[in-house]
Amino acid sequence: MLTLRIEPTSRPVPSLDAQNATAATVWRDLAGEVCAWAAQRDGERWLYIPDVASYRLAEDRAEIHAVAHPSVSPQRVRRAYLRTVLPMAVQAVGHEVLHASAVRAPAGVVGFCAVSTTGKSTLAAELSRCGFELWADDALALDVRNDGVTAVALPFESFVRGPVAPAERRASNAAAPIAAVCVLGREADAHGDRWPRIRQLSPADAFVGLLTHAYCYTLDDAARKRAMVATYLRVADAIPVFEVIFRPGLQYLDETVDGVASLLGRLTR
Amino acid sequence: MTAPRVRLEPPRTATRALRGLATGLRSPADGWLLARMLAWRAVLPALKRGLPLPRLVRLMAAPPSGRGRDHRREASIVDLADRVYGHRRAGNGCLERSLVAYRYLARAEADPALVIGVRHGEGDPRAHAWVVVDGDAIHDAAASLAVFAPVAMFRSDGTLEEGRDARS
Repeated sequence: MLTLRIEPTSRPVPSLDAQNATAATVWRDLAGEVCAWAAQRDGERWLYIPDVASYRLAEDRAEIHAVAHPSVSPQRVRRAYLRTVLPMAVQAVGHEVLHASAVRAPAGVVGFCAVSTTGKSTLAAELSRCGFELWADDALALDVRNDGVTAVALPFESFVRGPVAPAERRASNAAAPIAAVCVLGREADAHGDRWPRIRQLSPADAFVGLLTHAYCYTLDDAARKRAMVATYLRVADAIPVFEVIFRPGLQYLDETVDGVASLLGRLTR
Repeated sequence: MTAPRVRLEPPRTATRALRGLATGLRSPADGWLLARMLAWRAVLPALKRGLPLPRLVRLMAAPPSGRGRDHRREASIVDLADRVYGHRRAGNGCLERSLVAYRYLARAEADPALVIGVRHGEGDPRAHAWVVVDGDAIHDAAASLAVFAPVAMFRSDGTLEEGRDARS
């Protein structure tokens, strides 16, 4: 797929000033701080991670060149590349990518979409300890063809400490059919005794649910946006999408893992 | 031995709800429209389960009545759809409310568009559906929509828009 090349020279990451802001796509974190921004410069696509590095998508779309911020380690440049830049770049070059962790079940890959800090990485890591191969930690790349929806493996680092399934060494570019996607949510004011609550979404709700967790390099490219919408409409129609609502807190982790593992066991190809 | 008495009238809460919905109806036509919207409210969840979104939208896209535009009628449609769905806000039944309003506005020749948008950045709700007539959202203030990026727009005939910016 794409490879990272870190340039030998370093340079400060430009700030998102008024001049840049007009032509940029900006991503902010939960606190409203800019965590990344992208812009076209001289016909080239650039993605900037403040205080980390500037990343340029090469014209041949095979490499991403990183110019590190002074005093930032190559490990940090690579981590930001895996977590933020690679999913965006893969989406920019034509695949769809969900903000999701994923494991591989007997029926195929199952993705877990959620907003940051919901617990998707924790859930996937726990499932990997139950024997499901960890497939993705924060970005699930999709390939949609006439014969179904396939997950394309992207390199990743698990954000959850401790031992996880051995498949992190899986070859990049590996592919496997997608069996289902789960959209995760937490219910703090939880009553009743049947947790997690799992229901299959209608195709319309599935489409909206998937779209809300889609990586998108830019919405200004009308043709690319059309292709993205068409793809997610097909995905919502082709594979089951479940809403999984669980109780927050580590004391409820086991019941959530058991409920999801049971769902994974019931899925069929 | 007598059979237990069966209460035939609807429960008081339902009666109150229906009375509330019907309050202020301006004509028998509004009453008939309200009844049809309530019927759609009852069947839409089942249709949503069975149909992909493009087919669902095409199903809801009613052909124009041929009577020309009537702004008073359009205002009634917007108001009644809001009442039927209890003034739903983003992420809470907004798609169904929009589908129902979209259907009757298309029938009334208002040339509505159904828009689906996703939020810029983090926060809830993550997505929203709304209806646009003459460039303005019918149920939402422009400021409340500013946080959403329109990603898909269906024309009044049910086809997916290709090319035009879904924002207007």
